Amino acid sequence: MGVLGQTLPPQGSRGNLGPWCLISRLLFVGANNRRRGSAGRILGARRAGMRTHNGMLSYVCAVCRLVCYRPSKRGTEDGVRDYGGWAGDTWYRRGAPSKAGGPRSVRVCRSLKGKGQRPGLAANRLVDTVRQFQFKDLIASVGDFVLVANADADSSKSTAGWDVAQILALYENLDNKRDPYRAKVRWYSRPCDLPAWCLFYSKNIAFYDHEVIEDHRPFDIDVSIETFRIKCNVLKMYTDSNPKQILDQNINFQFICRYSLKAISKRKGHLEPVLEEERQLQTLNISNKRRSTLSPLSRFSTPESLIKEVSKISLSEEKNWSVIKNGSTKILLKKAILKDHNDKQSPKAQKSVPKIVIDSPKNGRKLTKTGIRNILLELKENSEDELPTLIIKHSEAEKEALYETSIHSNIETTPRRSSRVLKNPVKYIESPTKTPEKVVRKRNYNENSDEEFTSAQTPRTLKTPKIMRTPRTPSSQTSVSRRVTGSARKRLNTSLLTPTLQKRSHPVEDNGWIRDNNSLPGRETQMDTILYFIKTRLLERTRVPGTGKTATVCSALEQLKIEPDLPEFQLVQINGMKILSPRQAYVEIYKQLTGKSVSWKQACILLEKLFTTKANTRKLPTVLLVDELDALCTRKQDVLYDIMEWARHDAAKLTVLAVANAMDLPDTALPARVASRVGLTRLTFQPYTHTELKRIVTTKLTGAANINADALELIARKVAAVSGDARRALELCTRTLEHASGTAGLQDVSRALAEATCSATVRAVKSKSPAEKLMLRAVASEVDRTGSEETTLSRVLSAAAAIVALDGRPYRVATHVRAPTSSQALVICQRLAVSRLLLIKPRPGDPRIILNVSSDDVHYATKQINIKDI
Amino acid sequence: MSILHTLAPVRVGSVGLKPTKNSPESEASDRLLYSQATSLATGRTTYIASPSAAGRHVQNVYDLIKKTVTHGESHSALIIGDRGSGKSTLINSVLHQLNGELDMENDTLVVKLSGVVHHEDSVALKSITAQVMQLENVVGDRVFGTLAENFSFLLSCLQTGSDKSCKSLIFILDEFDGFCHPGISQSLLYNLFDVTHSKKAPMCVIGVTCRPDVIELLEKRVKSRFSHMHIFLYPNEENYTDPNYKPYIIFRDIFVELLTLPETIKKELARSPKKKIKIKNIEAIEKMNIGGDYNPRNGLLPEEVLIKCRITMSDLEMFDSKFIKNWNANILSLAQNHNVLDALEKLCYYTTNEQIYRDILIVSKVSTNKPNIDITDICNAIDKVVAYDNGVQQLKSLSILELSLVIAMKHGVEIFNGDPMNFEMVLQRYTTFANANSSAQKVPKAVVLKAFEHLQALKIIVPVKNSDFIQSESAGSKMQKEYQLYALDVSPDTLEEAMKSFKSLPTEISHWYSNSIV
Repeated sequence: MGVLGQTLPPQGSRGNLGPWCLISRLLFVGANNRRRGSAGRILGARRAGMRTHNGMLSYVCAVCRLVCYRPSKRGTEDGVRDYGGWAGDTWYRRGAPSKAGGPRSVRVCRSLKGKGQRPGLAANRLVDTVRQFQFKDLIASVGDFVLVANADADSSKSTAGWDVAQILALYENLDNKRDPYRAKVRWYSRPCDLPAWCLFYSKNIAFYDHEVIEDHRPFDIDVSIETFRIKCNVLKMYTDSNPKQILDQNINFQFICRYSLKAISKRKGHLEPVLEEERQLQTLNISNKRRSTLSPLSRFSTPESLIKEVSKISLSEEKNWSVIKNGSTKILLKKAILKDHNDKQSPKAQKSVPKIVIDSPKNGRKLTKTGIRNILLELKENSEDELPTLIIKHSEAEKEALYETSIHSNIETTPRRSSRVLKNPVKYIESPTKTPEKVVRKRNYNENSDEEFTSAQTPRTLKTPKIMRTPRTPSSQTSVSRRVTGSARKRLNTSLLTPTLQKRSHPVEDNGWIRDNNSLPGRETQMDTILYFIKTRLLERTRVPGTGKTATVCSALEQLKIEPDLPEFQLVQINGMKILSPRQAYVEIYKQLTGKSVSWKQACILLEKLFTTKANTRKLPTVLLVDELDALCTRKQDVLYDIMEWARHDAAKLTVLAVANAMDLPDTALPARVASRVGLTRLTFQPYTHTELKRIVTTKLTGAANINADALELIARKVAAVSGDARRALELCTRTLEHASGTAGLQDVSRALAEATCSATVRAVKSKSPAEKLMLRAVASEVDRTGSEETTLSRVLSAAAAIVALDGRPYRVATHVRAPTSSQALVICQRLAVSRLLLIKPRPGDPRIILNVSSDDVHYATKQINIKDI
Repeated sequence: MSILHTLAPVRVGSVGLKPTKNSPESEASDRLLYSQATSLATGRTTYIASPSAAGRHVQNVYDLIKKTVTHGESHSALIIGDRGSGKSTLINSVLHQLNGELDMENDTLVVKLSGVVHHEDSVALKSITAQVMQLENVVGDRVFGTLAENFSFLLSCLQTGSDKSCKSLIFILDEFDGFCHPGISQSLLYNLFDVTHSKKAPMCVIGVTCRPDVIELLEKRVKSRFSHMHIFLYPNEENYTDPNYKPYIIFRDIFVELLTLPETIKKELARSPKKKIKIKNIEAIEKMNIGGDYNPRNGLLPEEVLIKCRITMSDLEMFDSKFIKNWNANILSLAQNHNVLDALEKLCYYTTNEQIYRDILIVSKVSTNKPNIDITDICNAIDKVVAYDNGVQQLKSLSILELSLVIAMKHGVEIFNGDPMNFEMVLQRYTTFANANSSAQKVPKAVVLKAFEHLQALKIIVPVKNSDFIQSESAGSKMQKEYQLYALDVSPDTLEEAMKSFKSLPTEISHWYSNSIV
């Protein structure tokens, strides 16, 4: 927000604001009573839930309460992702996706506040406020209820996929070139969209058709104005009131609201009456007002040793001073206090610079451009004589809170003296910075910020310390189930059929020996590695088939999903072999993310936008699991390149786990430009050893499986010696058990082994007729003699004649001892070529014959060629 | 060919019987013949003739499919056997058997694919969709937009059945090697095996192939998902170790088993002795027996065979018991005959394929005048299969001039050590021979050229595109046909055989042939 830190520009010089129809600006002074109330609303709004993320890009324009704001980072942070939908999805569909920026038809009306309306306040800060905007036909102002286009919604008239939201604030984010017109909203959910846990404590509530619930789940509340569709009306009622009359009037877009949803923990929540809640809040606010708002600060003790200096402090003559933290954030404070001091005490030029310290933990992070996090600015007037001290604190919580979406730094200016102006602390809401990899931390932050809230809003006596408004976003798991239940409504137009098979009429009799369990013996270390890596890196895993690559990744992901300390993430799973062409991968990914099927070109464009747009507020980090990576290789390698490129983007929050068989895939199959993006993190899955295989088999077998230990050992060792393939071992087990009558023993194992390890060629050769064997033997001896695999029919025939001469008469009535005639031999060879024991290449006069099996096999199998004379 | 050939004498008109329209016997026999001819021509018969050979495998496949159907298990197997070893017959008979025992219609979906037809994923998909498209929730007129959509939909269909409440799927992949050519992607197989492996919808995937090395064609990941269950349908596998094993004994048993008539018909006929015997139907019955498997002990023909042949038991009642007795006695005596056994042994030397053997048996000529099969019928049929040389027959059909050209060319090939010759070279050799022998008729060059072209048309000589001549051919215009190089595509043995049996061959030519170089 470049306007901060500058002197107030003259009224006429706002041409640089582009197409905005600027009506007025507000100059406004730090603290006032109204601000507190509205601050509470904003903060509350941050917790407000949303079903679908609409805000694509964000910018904050707080009404009279935001002092410092860094909007450019914000958009990428509030990453709460709902099922099926994505930020800006509607946007893409509405406008041309390729057109950066989209329609620019938002018209914002700004009301002039400040001097005119509040003459008592010193004009020490300049904030753009927007009270009203016009977007297409929609004119709405702060406090209005609107319907917001959902990601799932189609552009049809149906309001089914639209969410109800209340506009809390409107602002403009100039840094966000694409979508500068933002709004803060509070979300209202429909009862049918609530996950089951929300209604756990209040199952018996009968909801009306047009009922919505104020949703305080931690959804992203920062949305683009352009997603607003139409104004609606939400009537807040008591829970026992009967809304029949209102609903019977059948007004369009009339909703009622009786409850508000409070999320207690990740999967817990309860409904509260919306009006009562408001009353409570009001009383709390009133009681809060008198108290010192230092409560949040009290949490952070500030050891003197940790105090460091801010990098740069500029003090201007105009009695404004700004603190520049490494150039990343400019804080402009019109220091009324300072002025007072100067006026009172030092008529001459100010000598002492206000002491500004930065209080940070010892391992304090560098205030890099992107690294500035939760900074607590504390402005303190030390005494009457001293200049006020601005303490910039890295809060302790910041360690956990590093990766949060919006971060508030509270600047507490607490003048000892009853200052005229700054009676209340100035709240900074600092724009978020993001580090998409460290998704783990996010949840911690959320809890933390919630605590800050509670402490900020409630008096300390009332403080309930551990009510964690843990962010609860519908996990992909619940979203799946929800998708199933709610799909009828959502998918009316997609006409997607639920794929099922025909139901059988007779139930199956289950006598399976193999138990379905998810334990993965022998893969503990790999599991740990995955759990570790999954949060951060691109990981590629290479090994022979059947070594549990996919299973390990899947169960690791499952584990991560239920792990309470982790934030929600979206799992996208594609299998290179389960799509027809590599490019269908785009379609599949997009479908799993949004539930919509588009053509691959379109999907590619949309995904590209989705993952690479910096300001895009995607809600959840995505884990993309690419199974059978090598199947995605094309000649151009565009698919792999794209995926890897997206994963490289910070904004994408995309973690790619690739599973491949080929060890050297990045080195051989991939061109350099793809290979360099794949990254070096490679996790190798060794084939299972026999002990591991044994453990696997024992864990997988049910009690019904009756197999003795020796047999198990034999299976494990046999398989480990050949391939180490767990599938193979299990297959062998089942086959053994099928053979066994009682307890499966070694004999059954060897039978199963004989079935599986086929000596197909030997058996095939053995079953041939004597003449066919003769020909094969002749070919084999010819091959042995010449050393080349290829011979001709005439040479084979002469070799056969030699063999026959030794063997004697082929059959009793044979007129003379001789090899088959050449036409007979050709027929025989062709018959052998059908079963691929030989290959024949036609050539005039003398076809070429190639032996397709090893000559040793042939010799072994044709030992008993002799047909003795009778 | 052989079937059409044998049909001729049996046809109603040809044997001089009145083709009355309302004669049920003739109609029935016609139908019988037709159905048998088609079923044999396609090589697909409902029953396996020699259950002893494949009994164990039948039990294997039976267990496999039954477990899939009743227990909802998933399996995959590969049936490997030579052509004509009864792979499809085995599967069909198992399915048929299960059809009688289980509620297959409501519990299973059988999807049959052939690697020859469905070699591409797209074609296979369409076929699967068509065959499984009694899938629930699928609107009949639903048109899949893209192939990929179709594919993913089908996959998700297959992955829904984890609760085992859906029908069992039985995929029969005929010509399995067609699905795993190295060039094409094996995603179909991958997905099918993956489903069988991941305990989703109960599915049994049975591949049928004649290539023993088919497993090597599979990709690693596909191979890993395959259960490695092989069922080999190689004949007489059990007898390798038996020193007294003689394959022709088995053939003799098959001979008796297939050609004897059931006794039950005789009993039934005893109740209605007034029926006339139509001898022409003998062969019909004989063929039916070849096609069908019945238990000679109880003598009852399976109903399915009758249905397939579109006859009823009453149609069989036309046989006289005396005839059946004679016929069976004749067959048994044939089975003891040394000549027949020698012929069978000869056949066994060349092939162990049962399908070929059956085709031989059907060749036997039976008519009203010759009610029984005799020894020469069988021996000739076997000789034809074993020693029939098309090349010799072709050479014997040539004119003297053409044969002379072949001989001249053979001599030239001998001299030039296998190098190809052009017309001028052949002509030069021929004129040398013709001039040396005054008796030989002088023919103009154009006639010789014509004869040469005729040889080319018969593929006795084939043009050679030698690498040395490619340049001249591509550089200049079309080469003159007199100078086009040809190679002789007849082996010396064949020519020798043909010269021996050539009728009315001039002595000069045979002399010229034997004294090779002029």
